[in-house]
Amino acid sequence: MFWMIIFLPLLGALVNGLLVRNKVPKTLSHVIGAAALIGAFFCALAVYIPFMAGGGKQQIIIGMDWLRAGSFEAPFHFILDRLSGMMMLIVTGIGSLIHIYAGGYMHEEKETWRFFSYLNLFVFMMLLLVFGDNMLVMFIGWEGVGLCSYLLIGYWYESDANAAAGMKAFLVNRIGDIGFLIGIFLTYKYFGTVSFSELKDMVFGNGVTPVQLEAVSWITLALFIGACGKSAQLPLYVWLPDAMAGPTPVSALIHAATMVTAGIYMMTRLSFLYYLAPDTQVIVAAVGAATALFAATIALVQNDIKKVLAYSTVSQLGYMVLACGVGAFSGGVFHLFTHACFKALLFLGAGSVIVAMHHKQDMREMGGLKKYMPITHVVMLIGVLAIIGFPGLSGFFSKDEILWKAWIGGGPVIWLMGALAALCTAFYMVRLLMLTFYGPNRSDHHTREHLHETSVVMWGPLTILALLSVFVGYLNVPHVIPFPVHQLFDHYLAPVVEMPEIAKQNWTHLTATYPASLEFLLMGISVLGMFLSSAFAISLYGKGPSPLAKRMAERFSGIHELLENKYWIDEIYDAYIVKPLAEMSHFMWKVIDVMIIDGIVNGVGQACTLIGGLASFRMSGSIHRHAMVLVIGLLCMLTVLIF
Amino acid sequence: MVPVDMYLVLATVMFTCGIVGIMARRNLIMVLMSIELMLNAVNIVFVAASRAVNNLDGQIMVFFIITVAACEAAVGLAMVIALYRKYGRIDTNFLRMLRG
Amino acid sequence: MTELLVFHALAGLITLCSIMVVASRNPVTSAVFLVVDLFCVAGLYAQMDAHFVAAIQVLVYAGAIVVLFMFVIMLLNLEPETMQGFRVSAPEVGILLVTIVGFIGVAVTMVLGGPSGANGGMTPEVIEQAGGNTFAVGMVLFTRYLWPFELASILILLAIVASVVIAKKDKPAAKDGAVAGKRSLTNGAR
Repeated sequence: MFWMIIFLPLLGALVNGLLVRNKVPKTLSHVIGAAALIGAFFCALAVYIPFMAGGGKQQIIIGMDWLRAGSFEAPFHFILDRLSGMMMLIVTGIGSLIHIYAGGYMHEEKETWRFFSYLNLFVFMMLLLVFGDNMLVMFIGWEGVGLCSYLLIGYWYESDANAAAGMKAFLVNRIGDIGFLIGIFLTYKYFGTVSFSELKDMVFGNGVTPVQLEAVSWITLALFIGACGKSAQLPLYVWLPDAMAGPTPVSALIHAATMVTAGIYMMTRLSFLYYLAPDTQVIVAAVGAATALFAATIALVQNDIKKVLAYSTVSQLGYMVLACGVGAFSGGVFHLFTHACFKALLFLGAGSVIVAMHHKQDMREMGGLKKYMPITHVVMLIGVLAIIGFPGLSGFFSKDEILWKAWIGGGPVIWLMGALAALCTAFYMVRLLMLTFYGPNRSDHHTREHLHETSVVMWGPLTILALLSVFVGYLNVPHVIPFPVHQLFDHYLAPVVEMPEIAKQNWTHLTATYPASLEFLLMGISVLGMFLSSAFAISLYGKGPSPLAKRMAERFSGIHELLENKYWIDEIYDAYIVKPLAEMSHFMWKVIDVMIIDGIVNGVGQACTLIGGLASFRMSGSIHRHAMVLVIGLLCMLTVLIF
Repeated sequence: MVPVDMYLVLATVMFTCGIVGIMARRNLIMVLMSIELMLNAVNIVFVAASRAVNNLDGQIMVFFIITVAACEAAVGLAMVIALYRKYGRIDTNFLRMLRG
Repeated sequence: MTELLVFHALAGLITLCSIMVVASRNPVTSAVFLVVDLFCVAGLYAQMDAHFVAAIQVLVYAGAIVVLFMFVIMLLNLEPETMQGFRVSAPEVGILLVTIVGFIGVAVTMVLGGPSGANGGMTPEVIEQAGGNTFAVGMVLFTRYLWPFELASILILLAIVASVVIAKKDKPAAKDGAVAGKRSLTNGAR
């Protein structure tokens, strides 16, 4: 049963990719893709329920042997524990909803079999990543999801821009992967194994030697660089906004709910190592906080609905990384869970809007859609409320948990960066809502005629996601708020993110008790900030872009331009990194490869021909002469042999 | 039982005939026939040796040598035919194109 | 005793025929002498209890190779060549004679030394018991020497293809696209 979870998506991918192709109607490829995923989800449930009923203890499921070289081995073993169980449900569950939705979204596209095949392949790779018991199997999944991301971003490959965006995603990921690989190498060198379960047993059983302790800082740093690439942190986040060139379901599944969370998943898997390396944790927390704030500021002035959501994703990922950095791994994973729900909801809702607007994505041309698309409006409203942390919805619980832990784990500065990012989040999300659904409709006559609600295939999954966004938060209610059960999720994940004994002295501030009033105070500040920010956004954009907004843009035109052009980061990278590399490659090719190396190789050949020409003039061509020489030589040889 | 060295002497004589044939004959086909003679001489040595040390490997070797000889004769004769078609004669003194 | 007699008879015949093969002017005569020669060699093999090899010799060598020679000789309609001596310069004749003499000398030396080597264990009694020479050879051929055996079949295939290709008549190239001169390879695919 366990194997079905992984292999059903693979089967779907193969059937769609190799068998179905263009020969059947599009609906069939959609059905195959969605059915594979829904089947996988039910298999996942079938595995998860007995697993939790049995106490949720970690199980290693033995697969086949793979690599073995001396003492190094990396077999296909799969780890089923609370963390991977949760992830598999998220991936298959939200993945199924997105697959169902995608059937409606891709209805008018050609070659949908490619789309569903890649999407299924992606889920397969993601499950490999999630379930892998050692770093190399996880790396297969890591690279595999990067590949599928590339394939899907460049799905409409006829456009050069899309293809370039796909390549950018893959290449930037690769840069992060260097870090990941170095991390794997170092882990093997200092610990002798790359298996997660073995590492955990080693650290908790025998403790860590001082040499290993020092190495752990480097290992965790290297792995974190890999996470930066995959989870779009500074400075490797640049691929995510460009990845919006792909179809919206892709953005929802890959760049919101699953692939980008791989870095956080990896760090949580190795939480025991990260606890042992407080130096790296400082860097992790700083990068996470900086990313959260940085991306949130860019999102303030974006006009493309998907770009706003993309930067929002980068920002929320920054929150998750921040949580890992301050030692609140379960908080980070909980935010991962809630974020998957409401970000997928937001992306799919945006997709509905885009489809209704005939693939126009500029918010300045939208407006007043709430009367044309009531269902989409309601679910988007719920999604926005969730993400800004409206009290009672899921985002509130998860984000506040992170901010609280940021204060006690990282100090006021980190908390402030997070809080400012939350303010920006509230602002730009409410702005998005206002510009899209409220106010007068600004689109042209033609588009307005065709505005209508989407089919049930599309708003059905949205409703489910909206319900999840509302209720999932109650899994982790903090103690200070009266509620029947507290911190369910933290307790659930506790065995996975246990802290090793040696590390406990560095993290006493995490485990100490604090007055409830402090937590309430921080909570109150962030809620108040959210309300103020939202009110500001409503006032500026409630009826479309107001003159006040325009005046503000002119007043602060310097900052506005900086933000609108994403801090010119892409241009800086292009000028200082890409161009020099291209120049160097050109030089290597023209001079070193063509002139020098080819010259040497051809030269050797010519030398041989020359020598051959010198020696060949002895041949007379007559068979008799040849025979005679043969015999004489034979005789001499025999003589030598005998005597 | 005939002593082995007599077989060897016989083989040597046959081999020498072959060598003389190669060097003395101008006709290409005669050269090929002389080569066959030489191969047969070697075959005799192998079978004799096999008998002397009571091992069958020598006869296996003969089997393969005969196979190879057959192939070589076939290909050689094909070449003779081709050469004859092109030049009209198969005189070894004339066929010296591989010179230099 | 009879063995020695048979051997000497065959050996004499072989020597005679070998010399005649080399010395005949007419290629057909040479070929006929070659056939007799090979038959005698087969007889020699039989006398040495190598029955399998003897059969192969008759079938392949005498029966196929020499027939092939005959075919080609007849096809090319060769004339008896005039024996013109060695046509090599004097020093080369000298070297030639020296080598021939030396060759025989080496051979005699080797022969006088006698063969040496481990006893292989396949005495005639063992072979007889195993089911005869052919049986024993077959056993060894298909077990220890299976790989060369298979390669030999590939070699034969190569030789077939090569000889067909080399001896094929080339069609004259077409100058005006006439049907008669069209190469069969481009038939219809122009």
